[in-house]
Order: sequence, then C-alpha cells, then structure tokens
Amino acid sequence: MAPVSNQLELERIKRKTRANWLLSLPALLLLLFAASGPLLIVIVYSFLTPGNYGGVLWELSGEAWFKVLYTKDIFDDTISLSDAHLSIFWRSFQLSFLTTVICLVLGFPTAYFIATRPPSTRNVWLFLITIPFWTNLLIRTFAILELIRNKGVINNSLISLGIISDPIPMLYSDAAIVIGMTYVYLPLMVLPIYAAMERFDFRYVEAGFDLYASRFKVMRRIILPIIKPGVIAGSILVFVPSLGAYVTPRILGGGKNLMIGNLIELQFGQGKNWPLGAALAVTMLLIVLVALIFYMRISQRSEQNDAQ
Amino acid sequence: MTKTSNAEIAIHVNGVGKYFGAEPNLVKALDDVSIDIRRNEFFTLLGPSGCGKTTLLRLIAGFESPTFGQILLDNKDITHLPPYHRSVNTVFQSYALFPHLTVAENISFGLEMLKKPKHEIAQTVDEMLALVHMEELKDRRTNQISGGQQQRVALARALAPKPDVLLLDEPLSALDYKLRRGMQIELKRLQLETGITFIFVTHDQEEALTMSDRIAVMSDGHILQVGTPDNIYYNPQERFVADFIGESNFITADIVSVSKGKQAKASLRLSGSRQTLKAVLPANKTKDKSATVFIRPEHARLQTSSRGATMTGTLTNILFFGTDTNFHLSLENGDSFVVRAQNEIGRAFNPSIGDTLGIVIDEQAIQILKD
Repeated sequence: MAPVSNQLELERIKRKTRANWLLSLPALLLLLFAASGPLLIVIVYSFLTPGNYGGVLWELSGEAWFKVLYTKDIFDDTISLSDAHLSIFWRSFQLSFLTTVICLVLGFPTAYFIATRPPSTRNVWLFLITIPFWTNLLIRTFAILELIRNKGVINNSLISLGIISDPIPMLYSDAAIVIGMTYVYLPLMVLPIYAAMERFDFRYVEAGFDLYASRFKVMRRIILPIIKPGVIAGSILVFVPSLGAYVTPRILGGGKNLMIGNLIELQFGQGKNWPLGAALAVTMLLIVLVALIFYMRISQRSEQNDAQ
Repeated sequence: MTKTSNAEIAIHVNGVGKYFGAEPNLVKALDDVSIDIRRNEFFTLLGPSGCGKTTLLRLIAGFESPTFGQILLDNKDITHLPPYHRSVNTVFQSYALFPHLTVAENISFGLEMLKKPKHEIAQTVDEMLALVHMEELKDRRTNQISGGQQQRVALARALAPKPDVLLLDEPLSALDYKLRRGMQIELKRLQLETGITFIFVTHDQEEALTMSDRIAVMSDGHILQVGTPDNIYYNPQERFVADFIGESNFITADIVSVSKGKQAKASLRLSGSRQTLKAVLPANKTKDKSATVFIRPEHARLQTSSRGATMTGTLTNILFFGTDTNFHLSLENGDSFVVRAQNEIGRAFNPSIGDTLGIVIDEQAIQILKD
C-alpha cells in the first residue's frame, strides 16, 4: 500500500476515535460525577471522625473501620468481634443467595417458555413481565405485606376454607424478606436469560436428541452451557441489589431482621455515625466484588472442565 | 426390477403422510409415500424445495411424527420412537455443531450419551478424526474452523456412534463449488468405507447423479420415480422427472399408428418433420392421439443439409460451455429445440445464426412420456 493512503487511513481512524470519544463524553461525565464522585466521598468519609449531630469532623480516624468488625466493651475496653455486624453480613449474604437461587429456579422456566413462543407473541409475554415495574417498589412491597400478614389475604382465605385454624405467621421473618425480594427481582433474572435463550438455536436441541441425548441430558449438556452467560448476568443482577436491599427487609422484615442496607441507613440516621455507615457501605461493595470474582472463577473453571 | 428380500431393507416407509395445519390451510407435505431403502445403499431424495424430501428425512430421524403410515428400521416399527432411541444419525444442513464444545467433544457427544466405555470413546473419536482428516484441529472450537471443516466434523459426529442409517440434509449446499465437488467424492468414499446406509437429501441433480446408488425423485409430497442414476436420466417416466434432471427437449407429436406386441411401438410424426419415427409407447398411452416426446440435447446431432435429417430447424443462438456447445434452434412449427455438441479442436462444422440445419436423432433416443 502506498504510504500516502496509509497516512490517510491512520488519519481517518484517529478522527473516528476522536468522534467516538466525543459521543460517549456525556455518559462518561455522568459516570464520573454520579458514580465515582460519591464513591470517593464515601471512602473518604469512612476514614473521618463522626460529628456530634451527624455529618463528619475532618479528623483522620480508623475508628469506623475498626467498628465494622470489632466492638470495644464500654466497661472494660475488651475488644471482641462484632457479632451484630457479622450476623447481619452473614444474613444478608444468605438471603441474597437464597433469593438468587429461587429467582433462577422460577425465572429459567419462565424465560424458556417465552423464548419458545412464536415471535409474534413473545413481546406480549415480555410486556407482561415488565408490568410490575410500573408500580412503585414501596407500594408493591406493601401489597406483599397485605398478602402475607396474619390477617392478610392468604391467611384469611386459608382460615375461611377451614384448612388452618390459626394464621401462619409469615410476616417479619427471613422468609418474608426472601419472598419480597424474589418478587421484586425476578424480572431481572428472566430478562437476561430470555435474551440468551432467544438467540439460542433450537436446532442444537434436535442435534442433541439425534445423538441419543434424553431431554434431561439436552438441558444439562447443551442448553444450559450455551445460555450460561445469560444465567450469570441474571444472577448478578439479582444478587447484587438483593445484598443492598433496603425497602424490602425494612417493611417485610419489620426492623428486627436487618440486612446490610438497613444497618447502613441506621448509621446515617439514628446512629449519627456517618464514618461507620460509610465504612459499612464500602465493606458491602467489597463483599459484592469478592462474590463476583469468586463466581467468575467458578464459571471459568467449569468451562475449562467442559472443554477437557 | 429384482425383488429385494426384507433382510436387505434398512428403511421401509409404508404409506406415510405428513400434514401440517388444519383445513382450510392444510399443507400436505407428504402424501401416501412408500419406499424401500436397502442396506448399505447410497440413496438420494431429489426434488425442488417444498417437495417434501426434508419432511421425509425428519420423519425417519424422528423429529416429526407422521400423520399416518408406518416407518420400519430393520423390520422394527420406529414410527413413534423418539429420535434418541433410533440408531439413525443426521448431518444437518446448518451442521448444528455444538458451539460450546471442541471438535473432538462434538464427535464424542453421541458416544458419551450411549454410555460407551471411556477408552472406546477415545479410540472411536481418533478413528473418526482420521476418517475426515481433522486430527490437527481436534481441540479447536467449532467456530474457529472453516465451513468445509465444520461439514467434516458434522459428518464425523454423526458417523461416530455407527448408526444403522445416516441421514444427510443438503449438507453440501453451504459450500462453494470446488469444495462441494471434493466433498461429493469424500462422501461416497465414507459411505463405501463405513458400509452405513446413507439417505441423502438434495435439490442438486448433479450431486444426486454422481453419488447415488438409487435416486427417488420427489415433487409435491409424492415420489414420482425411483431408480439408478442412469435409469432416471435415460428413462424418465414423467415430464417432471425429465425436466428436473438434466436438460430436455419436449415436443408434441401425433401418433400415426401403433404396432401390436409385447412392447407396443408407435409411429409418430414429430411436429415440423416430414419423417415418421418409432418409439416405445408406455402402457397407458395406447389410446391417445398425441404424445409428449422427450429428447436429450446431447442425443441429437446437427448437419448442414436436411437430407437424412429427422427434422429441420433455424439456428437462433449458440452458447459456449467449455466442454460443449448448446445450439438453440427454432423448429418449423415454432417450438424451440436444443442440441448439445461436444467441442473438438478444429471442428469443421461452424454454423452461424439464421442457418437452416438438419437435426438427426436416433430412434432409441426418442421417448414418449407417460403423462
């Protein structure tokens, strides 16, 4: 190729790159100010001293980070692991994990169902899936509360049918939180799995049947591995917001079954300990990060095993 | 035709029909089709798209259930058996190689599903890789190899479980011309080496003629004619078969007289000809006044004089094809007629457009079609 046209080509690519940067600038700026900025503030605050009436004093301190994991006895200053915080972390992790698993179990068949409808009716089903998003999260959560409380729809109808004589206590429990979060986050599981499933070529299923794979084997050895990216995306989309959920555990957990989100809110509100709240928020971020890395590792390893 | 015993028949299709939809939009993809496919045979289902050939293949594979009729594999009724319980494998038109598996894993998939012992799987996979010359690429993902290579992997994957019958659904249609010719030879070799019954679906008559032991020509959900490639080419029974395979001239002729005997012969007067000719008359044609006569372009010769010619025509076009040349003529009654002549170096016969030429046709080359 002649050097002149080479130069022109390079110039063209440069111009194109510049144009691309310009086009993405608004989004980049928004990300910088709306995501990185606040995050930076949270990190900085976690190393400061709490003010008397909320807010922070600009004095460097590791106290907040110390309090994330440890408590100092008020009387004799003995240091011990903070059971309260640890159990809340653990509960948050458990409930989020459980929610993710239930969403997967419910969402996968739903996505499969929609993806196997004729193209003309698929959009109708997708539309139905998004209907819950039209209502405010708070209202939806109160609706769940109305369903599962002692004098709620479920208990009342069971009693009037004579199946039970006393209401089953469901509200203000971990189960209630999981039910609520599953309901709220289920579409986030269905949509990415559907997206993967819609691109799935069902001729692979025929090929599997042809090669002596039963329905179960076709599902496990062909469909699941191929749509795995959708499953991973859905799981992340459910797990991450579940971990930071605030409204659902607040209303359905009744304040005694705290999750990390509630604990953080407590520090910024009644606790008036902003640095501790900030440190807890960063801790949660780290838990999410570790969980994601762990998840990626596992899925990568299983992929390598598949390839062997 | 010799009668084949049941033991020699791999696939027996008995009065099978497949309808899709319901009245008034009922589509009869297959209508009352019966066919016997022999063991170790390279059998081709040939026909234009929509003729039902792929539907028949899918019924044999088990992806669809027939609306009526019966399919036997080795004298066992498999009509309603799911595909994973049939010793029949398919090479798909789209190949349908599993994208998350490597070449070797694709080939071993069927064997694993059959729960073959590990060492046997490894051995068969190696054999198959060698058979299709893919040893070097066995650890590649299927999206990292070319179309021709994917084709060979699809073949190896379907052959690995050593099925009784291998179904091939237009497997060469996605390949370019050179590769397709190579794969035709390769397929024939694989069929001979493995001794497996091949049922091959294609709309390409050249493919069908070069590879098949027998061909079934299909149209509109029916089988029109079953026979060896030369039988189909030289003795088409119906106009559709003659038209679909190779090039053909069709002329309407008047039946002047019919001779009595075991094989009735008709004296015909071809339109635009002063000469009468004889041809074997199909049984159902004896009472007709006129008939459709079929002549292959390569079975006619041209000469400059009309003396001794079967008929005459005016040259309208000359098309050069490399190995041969097609001369397009207009007959006296306006019908068009094509004569194909093999090209030779230094040929003396060089007519020009507008010349009136004599067309010479041997008696054996003139056939009367059934319809």
